[in-house]
Amino acid sequence: MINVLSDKILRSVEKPSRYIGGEFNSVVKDKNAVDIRFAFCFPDVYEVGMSHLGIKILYDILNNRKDTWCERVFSPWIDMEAIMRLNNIELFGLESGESIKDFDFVGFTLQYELSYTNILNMLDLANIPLFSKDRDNTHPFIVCGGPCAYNPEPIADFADFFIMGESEEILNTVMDKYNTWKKSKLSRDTFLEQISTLQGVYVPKFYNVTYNEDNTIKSFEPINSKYPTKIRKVIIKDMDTAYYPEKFVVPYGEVVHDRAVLELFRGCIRGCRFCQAGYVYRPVRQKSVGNLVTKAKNIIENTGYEEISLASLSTSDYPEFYDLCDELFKITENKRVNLSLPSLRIDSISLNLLERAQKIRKSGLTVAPEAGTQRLRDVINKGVTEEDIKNSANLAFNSGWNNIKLYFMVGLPTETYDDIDGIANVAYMILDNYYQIPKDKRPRGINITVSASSFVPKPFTPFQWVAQDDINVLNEKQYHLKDKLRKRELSFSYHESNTSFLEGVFARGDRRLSQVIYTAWRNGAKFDGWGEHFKFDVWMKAFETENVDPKFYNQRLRDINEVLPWDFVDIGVSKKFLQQEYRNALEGNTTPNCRVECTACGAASFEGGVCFEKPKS
Amino acid sequence: MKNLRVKYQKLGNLKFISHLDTVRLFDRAARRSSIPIVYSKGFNPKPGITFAHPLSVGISSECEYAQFDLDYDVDINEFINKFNSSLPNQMKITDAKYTECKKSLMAMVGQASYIIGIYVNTDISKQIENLLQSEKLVVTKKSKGKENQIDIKPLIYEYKIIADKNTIRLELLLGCGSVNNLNPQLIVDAITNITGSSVEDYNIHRKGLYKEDKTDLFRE
Repeated sequence: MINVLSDKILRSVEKPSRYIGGEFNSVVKDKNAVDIRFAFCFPDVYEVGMSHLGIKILYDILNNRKDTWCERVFSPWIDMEAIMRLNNIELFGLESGESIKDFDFVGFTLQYELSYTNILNMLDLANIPLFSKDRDNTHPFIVCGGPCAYNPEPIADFADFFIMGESEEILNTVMDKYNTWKKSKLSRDTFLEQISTLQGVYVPKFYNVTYNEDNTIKSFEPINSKYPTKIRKVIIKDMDTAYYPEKFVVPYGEVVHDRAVLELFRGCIRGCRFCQAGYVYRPVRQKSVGNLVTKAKNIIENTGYEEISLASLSTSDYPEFYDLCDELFKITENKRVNLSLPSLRIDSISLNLLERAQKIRKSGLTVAPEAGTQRLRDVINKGVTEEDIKNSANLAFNSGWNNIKLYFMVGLPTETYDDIDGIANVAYMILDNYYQIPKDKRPRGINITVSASSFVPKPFTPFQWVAQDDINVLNEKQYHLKDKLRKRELSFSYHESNTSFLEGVFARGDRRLSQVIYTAWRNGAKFDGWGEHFKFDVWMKAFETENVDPKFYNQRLRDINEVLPWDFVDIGVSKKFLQQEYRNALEGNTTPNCRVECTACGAASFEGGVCFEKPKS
Repeated sequence: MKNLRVKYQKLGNLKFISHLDTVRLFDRAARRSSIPIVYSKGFNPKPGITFAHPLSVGISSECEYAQFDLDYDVDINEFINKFNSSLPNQMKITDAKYTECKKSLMAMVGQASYIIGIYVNTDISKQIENLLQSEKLVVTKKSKGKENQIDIKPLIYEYKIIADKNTIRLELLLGCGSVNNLNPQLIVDAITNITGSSVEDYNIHRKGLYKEDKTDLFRE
């Protein structure tokens, strides 16, 4: 256990167990016996970070190396941060209690755009220069990865390099190259040069961006022809042989997701046009039932968790889903472990599963139509019909479920108030169906929750060119919907549009935003993802001070041939395909999923996964 | 069914995890070490592990007690080794024995001894002496949002003050348990209230947990 914080300090903060380390399965090594010290930083508090699957995988991979010690670092909460600054305590690793300033690598996972100021804050707390250009050989290398790394440009000035894709694939190679470089005692740039040849590695300083008069990008080019013009993401081809940890660090206290996680597959076959994850994680690659069952058994034994959850996009699409659940129930029921199932497409079999998994119907069922009319659902390629929704709801009611949650978005491309009204219509249709069932046959007390979040256009989706609705427009739409849903049996939940505005700016931003992020942070922006700490005014002031118009990024309808800040990243799915899908969307044409028909998105160039699956006869 | 009573310690920074966290730790350690624990019936089966007295956050201890309901006999040494290897370093079972006692552990607790180390910059031992000697010691206790004034003197059974340069060692025997419970934090608060900035830091350690008659909780 670490001793960097005195009892006095720990006693004076909320949830002191966040800062003590020593958890079961945490790895403590002799610092003199390793060559590389890696600080894996999650830019949010302990409870959020400890729920994240990526950190568990990479922590394990790195610590399996005899020459490396990887430690976890989370954002200290605001009360602890104030104390640390007052007492000159630098940001430390939870395993050693030592300042990360002297580590070899400080890595950040970019989970959401509103975590960027927390990254700067953590670097500052570690007394590491925030800008890459200000670092020298006395400083660690700052590396970033994760979903937001697919458009790394807004924070390109802060990171020394990025890893695009599934970093578990190349992390060991990067560490090996580092070892060699460290002994050579050559310049910092030499190391960056050496890793720049690895697929998936992006070193921002080796690229130059020029702009047109209208601020769109004129060119994005390597400063030397030896650097790749495009950065192709790196993926694990075979999920069954891929490394997956069988023990996790078991946290103290209540973390957001306090359970073992079993990842079934990566990517998604559906191609819903608003969903970035579905595209960037293509091609769809899955693990076999046998592999998953073995992993589940081992994880439960090694952690003692009382719950195990299945994690994937669109889990219902796992081909042998019901067989898998059958096998998993054998283990979980034997060990008295709860099997937590994610949102499933509702049919009679899935309902049986849900009943078996949740002994009490404590949570409700979810249906995600995303849009209120068939027209708009076709535009976003969400293949859910009104018939589907009706049937799901009826099945649910007839099986005794009385709590339904409906997920929608407002602000989708081509949306009109007819579509907004459509959302309310769906809710009322379900309510009507409920009341049509005879009183003695239907469950008592119905509650339908309509959840409407604001659409944020993301890079690498067919909607990466659209203009995001203005905050006022989004708010009006939410209020309009709220008004329509004033009924005892209905609840309406929605999110503040200010955060969606900012998310929209950074999702499709470029390098000119780094000064804005820096200025906003200097003026107190941090924990932007936490409603109560989000300072919209500080951000607007920062844009003004840096003379950057935020609406240029999120509310501008882009020309389909514009050079986008993330065009240099190759995710497999081609820009041509996305352009085609954009046109399809505007015409209201749907696109079938990968298992029905291959539409040549480009992911097949990775030579693996569902693209090469033998069709089931 | 067999009842295995254990004594364990909670040291170092583990004093900062809550009692609920401790319960969770034990639950998971039990699962990891495949100990034949009896689970409760019903929708959410809970392992049959009960605790003598919840330890407040910030207090370390060398004498905590818990009881395991087991399906069948296990070798005690094997149990201790297995279970300890599933716990974080600063929490270890130090002793275990089977018991026929039907009374709940929690109901048996009556007293507890604490050692409080107070680090001071001026000698306040006289002030502490006066405070503990007085007929009444009224403190403000917050309970369910309300603030109550209570006299805690009757629950201070014994005390000893040992001053040594910048450290004052306070040995206390206090009422503990479901009926007469005094959290030593209240005494520390009372001290810091009157001595203010003289106290630099402090720690509280539970040295013993006893029955009403001051006998060991291990004894039948």
